[in-house]
Amino acid sequence: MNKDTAGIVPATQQPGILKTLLLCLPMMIITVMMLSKGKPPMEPVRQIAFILTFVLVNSIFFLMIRTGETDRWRSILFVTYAVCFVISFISNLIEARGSMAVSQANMIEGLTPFCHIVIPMTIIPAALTKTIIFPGTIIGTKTAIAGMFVLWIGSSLALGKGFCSWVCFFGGLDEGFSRLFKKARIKNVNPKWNYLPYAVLLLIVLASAVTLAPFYCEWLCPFKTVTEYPEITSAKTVIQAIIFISLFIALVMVLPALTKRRIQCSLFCPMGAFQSWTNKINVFDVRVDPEKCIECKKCIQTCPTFSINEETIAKGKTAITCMKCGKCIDACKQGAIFYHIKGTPLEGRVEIYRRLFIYPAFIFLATMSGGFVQDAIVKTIKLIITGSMF
Amino acid sequence: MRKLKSLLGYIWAVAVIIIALATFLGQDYFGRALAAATGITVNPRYSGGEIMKTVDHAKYKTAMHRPVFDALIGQTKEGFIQINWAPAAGLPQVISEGLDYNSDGKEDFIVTLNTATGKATLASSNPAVLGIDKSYHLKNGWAVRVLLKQP
Repeated sequence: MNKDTAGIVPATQQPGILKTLLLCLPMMIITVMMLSKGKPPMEPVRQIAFILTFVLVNSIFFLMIRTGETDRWRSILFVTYAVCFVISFISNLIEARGSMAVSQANMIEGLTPFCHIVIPMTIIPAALTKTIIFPGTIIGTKTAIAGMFVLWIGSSLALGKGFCSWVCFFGGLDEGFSRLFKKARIKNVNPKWNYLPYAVLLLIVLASAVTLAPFYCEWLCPFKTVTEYPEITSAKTVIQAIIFISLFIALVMVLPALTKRRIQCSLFCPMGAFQSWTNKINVFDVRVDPEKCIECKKCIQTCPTFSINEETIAKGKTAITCMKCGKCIDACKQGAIFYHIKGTPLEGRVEIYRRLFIYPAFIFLATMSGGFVQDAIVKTIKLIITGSMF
Repeated sequence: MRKLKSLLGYIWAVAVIIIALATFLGQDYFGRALAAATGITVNPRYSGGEIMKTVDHAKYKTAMHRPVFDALIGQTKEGFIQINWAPAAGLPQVISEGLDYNSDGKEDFIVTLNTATGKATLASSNPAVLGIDKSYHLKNGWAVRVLLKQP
């Protein structure tokens, strides 16, 4: 296959430098505004972090526009985002509390940051008791419950399940490990496992409603390993810690590395299962042109979430679980797979559809990652200069 | 019809860019509006529930929350009541306070807390008061949860 035909935009149709810069200009303005939050940083270390983050984010967007490839560049920022989130989150916890452990006193004071994975667990109790079963605060902080709900509603309306590939601060860890090796060591995963996240979702929603506590956070969340975990004070908290670490090693590190798939995200995460339904209320989807398809099955092999198979290709679309990462689109040398706007014709204008998708998607990714990337850079510079992150 | 659907699709797709910007620029505003519109609060199992009574001891204050028996539907047989003391700077080494949680004019229990060790003890004069659940060292004071059963 000629290299020029890679991706959906052949080299001959790729925009020139000037047109690319023009297309990137709105994103540069938006990212200056979002990364600085309206106030340019004054401290030299923060200025350096701001400039580095701005350059990184806009270089990635430039390359997305210029090359016509989405996932190749998205994944770099997405993985960086997850790593910087962990650095920033843990260092902030240690600075504020002196430890990654959350004590019961922290909980009754509402000092636990709210995470989007809790959302499905809160719905039944919120409907019946008008309360949120989480030890956080409703408003007033960056990670307050109401603010996180707004972020989730906005991103679900904008991207549907694209949330999992463009917004989620944990997904990049799974994705990073899935890209460690060139070839998959485990090639065949039984498609029946696709139902597991729905079973986990059902279990945690019911268990949380009955116990009036976020069951997944208490017992099953692998990401507790790299964020915060309950202070170890009893046999129960020891068991919880063992479960968190085991699930992290198995689902976020080992299995993604061996299968080259996002195992935690696609086969376990209840938020991912819940988020699948938001693809129904979202204007963007990923479509397949069966006439252009040469049945090379590269898309099936590369999809990190098992969202494309012979059956969905025949129907001309991806499964409801599609995270709109763009990996299959980049992999399809025939240009048979493309982002699409519901209601518009399938033929032609695929690059317009793609650009209309990546603008909002990238606003979410750049804004969400920007704060954490800047903070991680600041902490790293401080660590190098002073020997302490704080 | 096809053209109209196509036009609506494009309008919706462009509107998504506005939604993305509004999500971040209006996160605080929409968050407050969402909280106000739904009237939602943190579950009392975590927050301790609304403060029912405050006692001013000049150097520190005692805040007694409402008894919490909240379940998903109805009430549980057993619950707790949370008592907070703040600010930390004004607290004596040992706090000993008699409290009437059901407002019947009779003292229901005396809770004693050593603010140096966090050890809390309870002397109950009401059979519905079961004992101490836990004491908590807060940022600016202390809290104790006392276990209760439905009278």
